[in-house]
Amino acid sequence: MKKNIIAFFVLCILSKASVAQDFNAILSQKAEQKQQSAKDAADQKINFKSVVTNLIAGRYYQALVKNGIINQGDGELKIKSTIYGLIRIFDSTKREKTYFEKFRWARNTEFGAGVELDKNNKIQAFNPSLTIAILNKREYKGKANFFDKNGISPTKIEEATKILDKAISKMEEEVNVITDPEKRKEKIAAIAAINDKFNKSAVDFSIYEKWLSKEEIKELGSKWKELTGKYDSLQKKLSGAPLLTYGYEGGYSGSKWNKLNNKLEFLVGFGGTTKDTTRKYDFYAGVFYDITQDTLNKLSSLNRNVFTAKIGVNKVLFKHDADGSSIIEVFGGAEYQNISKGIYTGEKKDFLKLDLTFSFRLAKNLYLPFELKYNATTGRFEGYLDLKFDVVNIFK
Amino acid sequence: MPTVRVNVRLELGSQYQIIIKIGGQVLHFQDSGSQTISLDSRFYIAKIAGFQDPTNTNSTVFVEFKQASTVLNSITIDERKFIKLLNVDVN
Repeated sequence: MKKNIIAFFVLCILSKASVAQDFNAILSQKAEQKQQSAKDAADQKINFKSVVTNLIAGRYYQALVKNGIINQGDGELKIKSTIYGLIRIFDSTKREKTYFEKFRWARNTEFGAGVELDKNNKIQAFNPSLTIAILNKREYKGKANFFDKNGISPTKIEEATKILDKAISKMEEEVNVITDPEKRKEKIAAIAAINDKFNKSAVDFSIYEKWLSKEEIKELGSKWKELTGKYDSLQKKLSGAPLLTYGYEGGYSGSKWNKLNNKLEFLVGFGGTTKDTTRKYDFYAGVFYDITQDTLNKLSSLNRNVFTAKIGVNKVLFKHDADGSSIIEVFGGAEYQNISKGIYTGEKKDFLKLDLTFSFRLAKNLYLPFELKYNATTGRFEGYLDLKFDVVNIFK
Repeated sequence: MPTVRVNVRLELGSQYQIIIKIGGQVLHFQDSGSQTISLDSRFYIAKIAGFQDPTNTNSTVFVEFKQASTVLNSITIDERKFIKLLNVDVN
């Protein structure tokens, strides 16, 4: 700004002294430049881009935004990604199977940061976060191909879909007997439209009823259902495997830290009748150590330490028919809390609560839990309602 | 006899089982790659069927049929279990 003012005055003096004839033109040009600078200053995208480009290479900015790694809002910048997500942005060749296996650790480490900026693009508040899957058995890590090992071979896929070849042969023949180029083109377009309809459907074989009998459609559907049922079962088995995560969340604002939260969570499915059955229940255990700023004492930072341990069992009551995701689930467990520093007046140092939570799915990975807690220390019931994001799905 | 190159690109996963059947020939893919086949000059419908990584919700498969430098047809599949039929007109 100062440079602009000085330059403006220098230009004024110079123009008066020796180039008076250009004064109006220069003044007009400067006015335009100033007007553009004012527009740019008001433009969030330009402002943020200039900040971001100092942190990362500018040419990747759009890719980071496009992939949801960077989100910007009103004076706010949020970054959230696994390390693998970043590697893929900066090196697009890392999509192959070998890289996927090699960078397993990078997919199991997610970091995030929220930055609030003032009007001069200076950082006002900073909220870093980190989640690491220490143990993640929900990913298949065997050396043999997962499908070969579990009996879903190429031969099985070919067998399950073989009846469809009859429809394919008939459709091909209908085109190949046509000699007139225009009519051939029209027929290809018509078949393309039918195939497109099938490709967009949930594998609806009845679309080919012109070329397949009802019995053939039924048999085809039955064979495909049998094969995909096997796949679904294997998938569900993996989704109940052990998962141990460590999470960290920090908060910095007003020149001091106001939050340093740590958590260790463990989840595993159990209750199936055999080894390969889908687990009926989920066992959950979590320990939390939250170091926060006392909301009643904002002069010093991090003056309240709370340790919490939770244990319980989760049961999905209703599932979505299409994707098998939970619609309503219930969690029953216990929670122990110990406040080692920063106890409020009248507050107990430690207590035990019995917890019953019903969670209702609002959107993919977004739940509304209704918590009913019985405080064994005070003998009172407490109710809570809060939105919850399903972090487990990050590592799927 | 014309040759057709079948390119398959598998993204964000390590476990795949995919078959592509065209003109009676069955190709098998478990990783990204290309395979070349000889076909008569006529109209075909390719059957693409298989499964993607059961542990990765973002798996995507891209399949492309090329004759010399001409792309005959292509498809992007993001379902985890799928059957797709694709027109391939070989010149």
